[in-house]
Amino acid sequence: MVRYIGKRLLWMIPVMLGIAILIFSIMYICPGDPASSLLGPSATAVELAAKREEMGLNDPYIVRLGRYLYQTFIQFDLGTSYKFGTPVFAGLMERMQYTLVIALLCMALQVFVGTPLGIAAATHHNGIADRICMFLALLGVSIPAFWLALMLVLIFAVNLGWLPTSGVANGLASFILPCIANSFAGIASQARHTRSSMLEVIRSDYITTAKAKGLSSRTVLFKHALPNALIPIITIVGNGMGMMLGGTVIIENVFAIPGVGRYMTDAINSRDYPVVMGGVLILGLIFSLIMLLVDIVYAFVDPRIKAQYEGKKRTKKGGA
Amino acid sequence: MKKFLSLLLAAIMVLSMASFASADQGSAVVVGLAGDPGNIGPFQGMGLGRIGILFTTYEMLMVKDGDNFVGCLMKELTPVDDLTYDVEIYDYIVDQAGNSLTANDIKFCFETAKGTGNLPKLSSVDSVEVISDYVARFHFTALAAGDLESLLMECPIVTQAAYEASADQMATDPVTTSPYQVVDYKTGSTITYKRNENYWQKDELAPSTSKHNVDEITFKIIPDPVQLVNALKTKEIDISAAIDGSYISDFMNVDGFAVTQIPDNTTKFLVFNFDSIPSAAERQAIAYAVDVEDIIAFAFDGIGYHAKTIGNTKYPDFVSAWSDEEYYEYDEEKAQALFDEAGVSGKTYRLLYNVADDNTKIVTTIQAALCDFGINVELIGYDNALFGTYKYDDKKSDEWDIMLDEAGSSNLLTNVWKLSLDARDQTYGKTIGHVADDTLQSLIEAAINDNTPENMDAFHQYLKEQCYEYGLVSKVNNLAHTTVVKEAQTCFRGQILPGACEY
Repeated sequence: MVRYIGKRLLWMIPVMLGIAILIFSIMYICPGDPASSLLGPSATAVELAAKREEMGLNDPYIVRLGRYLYQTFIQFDLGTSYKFGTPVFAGLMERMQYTLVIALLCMALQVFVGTPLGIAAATHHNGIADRICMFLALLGVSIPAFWLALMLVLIFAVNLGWLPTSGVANGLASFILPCIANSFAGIASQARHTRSSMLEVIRSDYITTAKAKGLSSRTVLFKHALPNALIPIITIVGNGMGMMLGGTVIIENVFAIPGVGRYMTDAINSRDYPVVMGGVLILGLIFSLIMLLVDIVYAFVDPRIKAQYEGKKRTKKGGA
Repeated sequence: MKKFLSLLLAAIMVLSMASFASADQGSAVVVGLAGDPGNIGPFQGMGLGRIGILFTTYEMLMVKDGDNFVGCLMKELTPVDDLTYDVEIYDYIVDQAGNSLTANDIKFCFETAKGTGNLPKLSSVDSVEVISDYVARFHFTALAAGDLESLLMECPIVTQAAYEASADQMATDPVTTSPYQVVDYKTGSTITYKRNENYWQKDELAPSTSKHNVDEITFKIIPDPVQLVNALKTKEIDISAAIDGSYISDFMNVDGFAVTQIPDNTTKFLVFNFDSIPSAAERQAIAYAVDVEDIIAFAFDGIGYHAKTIGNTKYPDFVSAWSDEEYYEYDEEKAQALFDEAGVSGKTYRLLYNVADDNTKIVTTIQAALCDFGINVELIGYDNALFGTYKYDDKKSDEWDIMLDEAGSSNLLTNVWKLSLDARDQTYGKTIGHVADDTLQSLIEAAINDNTPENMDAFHQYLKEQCYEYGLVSKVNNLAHTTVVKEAQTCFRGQILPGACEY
């Protein structure tokens, strides 16, 4: 198992290198002028040209790429933000707390609301509960997050005045509307996948056998059916966590939450290349680690997968 | 479980309501900012977010107070020769950490700021020499009309001791001479200032930028324009200079709110690409065909003025006679005649613009107006950074025919003109509209060097006749605010001066 994890971690090096080269190339060909965002609207063309030269933006692609890769992978430095003048890594870490809070709360909502909904739908297949759950799921995947966010703000903040419209100054209350808006699609997706996974399992012979043995419905459901339906659910949760970390962009912008998503959106708009490249790299790394974690969790949930991970090791030992 | 959840939700709501209530208490004001200032250190570039907090955070040698330039840290300005000036500062200036400000600090700030390259105007400062504790001698490389004031207003001043004591070059914790000190900065979210009880200047000598009429100021960063409006409606913020013009009516004649209108220093104008529209008649035809009053009604809720040149009437070198003269007022017949003269029929123009709500409304109005003449307008909207590329890059000049631009200046009309019409300020030796016209160039140089009414008028009349650019709307700042603010005040850049507002 340790060997498997080590191998996966080593694989991340070329993955990170690939991400770095790809995002650098995208930013290189992306038109736009960081100097004009930096110097403001009253700078003349001559002043902007001088700034671009000073920033090294006129250097050839290969020189800039080499400089970026050396700085990132040899010096372990993501650079300094053009706009903020502060180290990119520090900026990302400072904002990561807000993004993590949103991502974790959204994941909690997704898991603890979406999964029971899916189970209820599967156990009452074609019944009224199933139809209600699936209608809600359909709504969830159909409603855009930004629209839902603005509607929630209009109702709960502007009209009722219960919650703040934006910002993070009001503690946990600041995160209620963003999390509901951001997790609604995730809850729907989780419910649909749980339902389909559970439906597949509860039609299996061993579930019929368990029922025939006279076990209670609760025992059959939670001891026999759910653990076997967990693999696709874990995959969704893992993917969802990665997507949440990188995908809170809209919600952070609508609710003025100073998280990683807004940091990167600002950076894209002002062509703050170090922030965009650093942000993508860090999010790529986090996503890879989450995927590794998902694979490890698979092993604990499904003994067959654990046996696969350990099988090669045993074979090698046997061979020696 | 249900009971627990309902109790939890109720507790959260009570807490959040309590926190709203506390924001309204006492002598405090919350200002909504659309742009994120990011690094609030003294020597950063003049991005949009930064302008909003600049005068609350820093003091400069000189500032513009109403229509006049007055000393802020500077007590006396004495010319030595055409390119050399002695600046004497007050001898009792102390910063928030208690450090005395001397001429050495002035030299340090200008040299450091110039070194960063973030304040390009400072390239005209050749050197700063310390004459005595409170007198610094400035040597300039060149000075056109108005440059001296601009340069002395450009650089925020802090003490070298405080700057060097800061761990992050004052990026988050500036220690300045301002009457307000940053006490809390949540990056990307809020900046809170408290009044400095030991502010150095006497009340009667403090310019409007250094007034301190409120105990606590919080700038709240809300980038989404709709959310900014919502925040004002719920009184989470008290005032903002960034409320979109089309929402202003939501706050007019509404209990608890007021709207203050202050003329802005920026003007929207059209730039014609000379490479694709070389005919003066064709350019004039477009100017006559666009009904600016329609634009003001649609894009600015009826609040704004038809410009009379590339710039508004606020500048001291604006010639008042221009206000009464004809300036391409909408005239369908003249427009058609000029289109016929230029042989234009069924043509398609590509109209380049910076994507913003009011710009989108302006260009669609222009599109509709030209459609009446059988002319098609293809709209090409880009974000700020990309718009800058298309505007300044000579190689992209064949991708647009007309450009909607916006410009303003802190002091003189000539500084607005030079941004787009002085070929010396472009990298390719032509104006932004790719005009290489020796007469235009000599006239603008004359106006920049000596902005007498004669020189100003000569340039203005020639520009009007050639119609290389056409002024559309002089903007008006709509400051919607709660009645916590009795009278709103702005700086010359149209940004709110919370310390100077009346409460």
